[in-house]
Amino acid sequence: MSRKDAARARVAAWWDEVIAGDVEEPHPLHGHNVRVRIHDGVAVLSGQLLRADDREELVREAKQRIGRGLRDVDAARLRLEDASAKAGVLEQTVMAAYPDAATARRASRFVLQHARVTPRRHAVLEPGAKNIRAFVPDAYVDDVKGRLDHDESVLVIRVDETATFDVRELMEEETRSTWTVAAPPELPAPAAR
Amino acid sequence: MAEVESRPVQASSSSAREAAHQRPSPREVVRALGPGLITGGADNDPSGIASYSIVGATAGFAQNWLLLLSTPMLVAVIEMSARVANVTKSDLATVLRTTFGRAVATPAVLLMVIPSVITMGADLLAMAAAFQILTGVRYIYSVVPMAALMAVVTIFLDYHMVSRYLLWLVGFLGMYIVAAFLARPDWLEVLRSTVVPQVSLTPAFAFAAVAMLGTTITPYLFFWQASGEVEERRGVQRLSRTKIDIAAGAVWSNVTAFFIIVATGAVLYSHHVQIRTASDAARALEPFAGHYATVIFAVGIIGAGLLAIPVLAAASAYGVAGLAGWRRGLGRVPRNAPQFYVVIGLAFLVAMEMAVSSIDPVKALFYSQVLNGLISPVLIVLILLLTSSRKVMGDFVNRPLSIIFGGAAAVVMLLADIALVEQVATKGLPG
Repeated sequence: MSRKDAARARVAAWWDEVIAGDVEEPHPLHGHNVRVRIHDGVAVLSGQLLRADDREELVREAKQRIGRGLRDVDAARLRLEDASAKAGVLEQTVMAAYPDAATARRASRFVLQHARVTPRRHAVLEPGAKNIRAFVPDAYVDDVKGRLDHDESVLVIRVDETATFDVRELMEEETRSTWTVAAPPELPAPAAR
Repeated sequence: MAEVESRPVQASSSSAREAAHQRPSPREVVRALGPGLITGGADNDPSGIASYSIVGATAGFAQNWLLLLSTPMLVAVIEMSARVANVTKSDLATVLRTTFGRAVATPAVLLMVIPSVITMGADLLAMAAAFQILTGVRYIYSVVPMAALMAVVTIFLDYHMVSRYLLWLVGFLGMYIVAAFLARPDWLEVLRSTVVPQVSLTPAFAFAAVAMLGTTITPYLFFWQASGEVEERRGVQRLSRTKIDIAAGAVWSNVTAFFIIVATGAVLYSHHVQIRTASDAARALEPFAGHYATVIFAVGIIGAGLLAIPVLAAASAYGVAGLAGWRRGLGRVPRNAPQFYVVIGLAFLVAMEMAVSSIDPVKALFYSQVLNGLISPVLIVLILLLTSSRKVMGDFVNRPLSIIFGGAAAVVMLLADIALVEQVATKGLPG
């Protein structure tokens, strides 16, 4: 078996595991740079790849399995790495409100797992929380207080600016938050540098 | 309260904008072209081509200066729409909803969607009429296949593939430059009318001015541009490239509009030829510029429609989905964003119904422009308020030039509205 055939076999085996439900295994060629989530039969691909060919190949691999374990493929979040947007330059705080703290915590786990980011800080603020200003930018403190006063819980995640699109989208569209907003980009806090 | 870390958040620094600023290399400038160029291309849809043709036929070159004036306004408003998306990481409808509430966002979105769908119907009709000129097939038979083809492309193809296809279609509009040269205008007169403002206090001039501005600065462009930025995940570090992309699109849009006016002005204005649709404009060129001018014009209209109609449908869907908080994006498969794609499908269905029904296309075009004209100043003001808010934009708030040109766009559009209302009140509806 040639090296190419061996790689192809490893990728095929990886897809079999993914379709069987084991989505945590790293891709044999791209490792943890890509991630697959199966949602209602749709393989949702995410992550970043260096080359357009790699992206096309991965999408093709997934599409070959439509009708054989998959119903469709969503590659909207599978992106090409862009060296022009540098991590570590700016940070953003994303806030989302949920009916209760348990939902907010579930949302927190979901977002951190699927956005593939390491947050600079994150918290679930519950009604009666005292140290709101420690997590929320000044301009949004009143908004967050208003949510907490209405017995909602607020998930606050501060991430690198380059990851904010994904984090905000996940918080608003995938976790059914009642209110989602991203504060404007800021310079990283000194301790985070 | 669950938490990780507890360092206090620092206040927004005044140097965040400087930190994000990057000077793109020439290669990166070329690679930057994307949503802005598509926006500029989509600005000249078949209805727009009809409007510019009517402007050329009724006022000659006299209003070319308005195109020159509207270019920086168009750049300013679209740039603000893009910037607010790159800062807030969300589309325009969502930012309007989260900032001003549903009471403001809902009418703003609906008043974008309604004229957009009407424009789609008028565009479909114009494309079918152009197809009839090229093939002899009666226009009524090509409306449904054309709409179905565009709906399938918009709904079932990946955004990256769709955007590549849209970028190629932008080039179609270059056909009008050829048409203008074939028309052999007096270029000195063209130049003079472009740099020296001329104002004529006649109903025809006033109506043509309203039509031109209403066609150039249209609300769906703001929504499309903002959503395109989110789809492309550009962010604030690429704002310089975004500006280049937007400026290229706006300049291309107005350059092609300029050549449409030059072509129709040179040929039709001097012979007092009346045009009622874009296909009439194509026919009117035939006796003067030969068979090829008509073919070029008709192919250009079809290309413009193929570019603009998916953009109009997608902009409507982004608006409605953003307002409702649904999953959205042309990058998603229909199963993962069903409501978003249902809105696109409905937009195509309504537009198709309009195109095959007995609705007068010129009236449809007129009313869609009236609605566009009415909502544009309101939306521009809302965008100005958003982009001037430190709470929303932080260090990326408007600079003076954005405020001047954005404000000028709102004022000029408002004056255009007043002129239009005055004309309708005194002379009645056209046609």
